[in-house]
Amino acid sequence: MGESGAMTSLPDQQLDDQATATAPWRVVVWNDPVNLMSYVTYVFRTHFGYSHERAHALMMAVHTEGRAVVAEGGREPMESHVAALHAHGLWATLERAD
Amino acid sequence: MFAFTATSAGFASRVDASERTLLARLVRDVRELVAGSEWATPPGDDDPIAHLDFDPDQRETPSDPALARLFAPMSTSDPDLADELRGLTADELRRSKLANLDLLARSLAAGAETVLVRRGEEQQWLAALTDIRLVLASRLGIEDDADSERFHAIAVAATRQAAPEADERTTALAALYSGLTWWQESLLLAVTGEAPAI
Repeated sequence: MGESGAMTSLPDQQLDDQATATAPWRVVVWNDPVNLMSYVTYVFRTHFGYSHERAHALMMAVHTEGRAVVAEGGREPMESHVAALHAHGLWATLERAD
Repeated sequence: MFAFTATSAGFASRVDASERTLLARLVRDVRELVAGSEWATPPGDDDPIAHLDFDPDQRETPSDPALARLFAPMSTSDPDLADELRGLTADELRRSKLANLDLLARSLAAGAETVLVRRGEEQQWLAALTDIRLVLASRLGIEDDADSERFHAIAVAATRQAAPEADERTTALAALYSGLTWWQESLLLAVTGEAPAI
């Protein structure tokens, strides 16, 4: 089978580690004029469990730059984050990291 | 209406009867908008051909701008991904928004002078208030911070009985938007513990 055979013999754990290391998907939150700055910080804290400092810094990045990457990882967990942020009334999108 | 304060049961705000009626009507209107989003439901049984064509993964962005914001695309760069994610999440997202609005409606219908947000319900309340404000902002055409400030000024002028700066509908919507923004901020302050407990 040659080289491709070597690939398939990689243990599952090693494949998982590679996927995590490359963090192929990103959650982006977009600025809007309706959501309160304090609310965006609150959602980042309560949903992601981020510290106040980190949540506040991400909110400021959204506010001043128009958008910010708030999480990175595998596709399914990032999809869940996007849907949860929409349920809170924030506008989030899923992006492939390149 | 008064600012929320933390109590032993949760977070309470005094709201008079006329404000309560107004809020309940607004909650009902937003609920109807979200529940009636025709793009999220398959065609009726009386149209079997359309039923065959219905593909839940091919739901388009709602045409109503307020609904389009509440169910905003989950990808800006990849339309196929946006369609796929809408198909996966739209029903659950709609259920969640309706449940939040129903909770508000129940809280407004209960009690005489005080609206109570029970501990554990604050996230649903904050999300529902956000959705209601998103709908009002869409109806007002708020697109940036300058628009927000302009409508806030209209609302403030109206409370001072100053000469109207906008037509009656715009003034009423601006007053609702501005009032709800202040009310949501006060709930957030109470929830995050930055407001004095009583």
